[in-house]
Amino acid sequence: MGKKIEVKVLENLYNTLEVLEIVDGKNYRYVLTPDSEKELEPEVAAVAKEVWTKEIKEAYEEYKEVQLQKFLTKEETNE
Amino acid sequence: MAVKSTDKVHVVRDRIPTKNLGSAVANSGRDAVTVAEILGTVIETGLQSPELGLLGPGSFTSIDYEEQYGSYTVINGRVTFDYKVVVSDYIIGKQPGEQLVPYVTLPFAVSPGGFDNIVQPLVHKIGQWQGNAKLEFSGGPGVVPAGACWTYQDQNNPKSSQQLKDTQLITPTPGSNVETLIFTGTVSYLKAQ
Repeated sequence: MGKKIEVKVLENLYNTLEVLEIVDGKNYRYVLTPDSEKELEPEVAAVAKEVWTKEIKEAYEEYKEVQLQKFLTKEETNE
Repeated sequence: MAVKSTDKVHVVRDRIPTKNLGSAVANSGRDAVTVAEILGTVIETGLQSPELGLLGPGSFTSIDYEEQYGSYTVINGRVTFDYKVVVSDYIIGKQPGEQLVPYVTLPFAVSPGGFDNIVQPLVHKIGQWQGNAKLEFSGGPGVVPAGACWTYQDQNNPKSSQQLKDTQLITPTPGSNVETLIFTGTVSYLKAQ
């Protein structure tokens, strides 16, 4: 049985991709963000190429930096 | 007898199955609906191979997984995800002074503000001193679109949390004083629309 792939773009979340792979009747789902380094399936790569613009990638990197600082601040508070 | 949400309910009028099962399916031409449809719930289950990620100025240069297991259930947009990740070897690249927060990837992106709860997050073994490098895992609860951080606990230092400390490169090797990393837990959150 072949593999079926569906890709959903979360436009309000840095064009995060939700990928659903249906293999032998089982659903396998994972999320890809604009900093994903893993090798993508051709169908997914085609979508990613369209929606992960330079601006989106830069915005996501800034978002990650803010999140990181939040975590680290929280840690210091806890300590 | 227990009723499953996927069980189908047939409506019979005068011993004749009717297709008029209410507005939800009135025009569907079907003669049965599922319990889930009647209750208005949407249930989805599936599998995901979780990975470890690092938030911050650094990343895994390489990582070898011994086991990756993840199972999720979604009920009306709320995700419950059980995971187990076993890492046998890894290399992390980062600059001195930089701190990283590890996370486990999730099957669905998290709705902004939709983080709900992390139940039983456990790191069973952590890396130990390797030269001047130290790998420890940081706590949350916290979340990024693709993953959830967790609270690190061990018997000697429960509920403490620390970040990766100063080092340029961490290269644990088999036979060194670095243990296999085992992460298990359950995460519950609201998925992004």
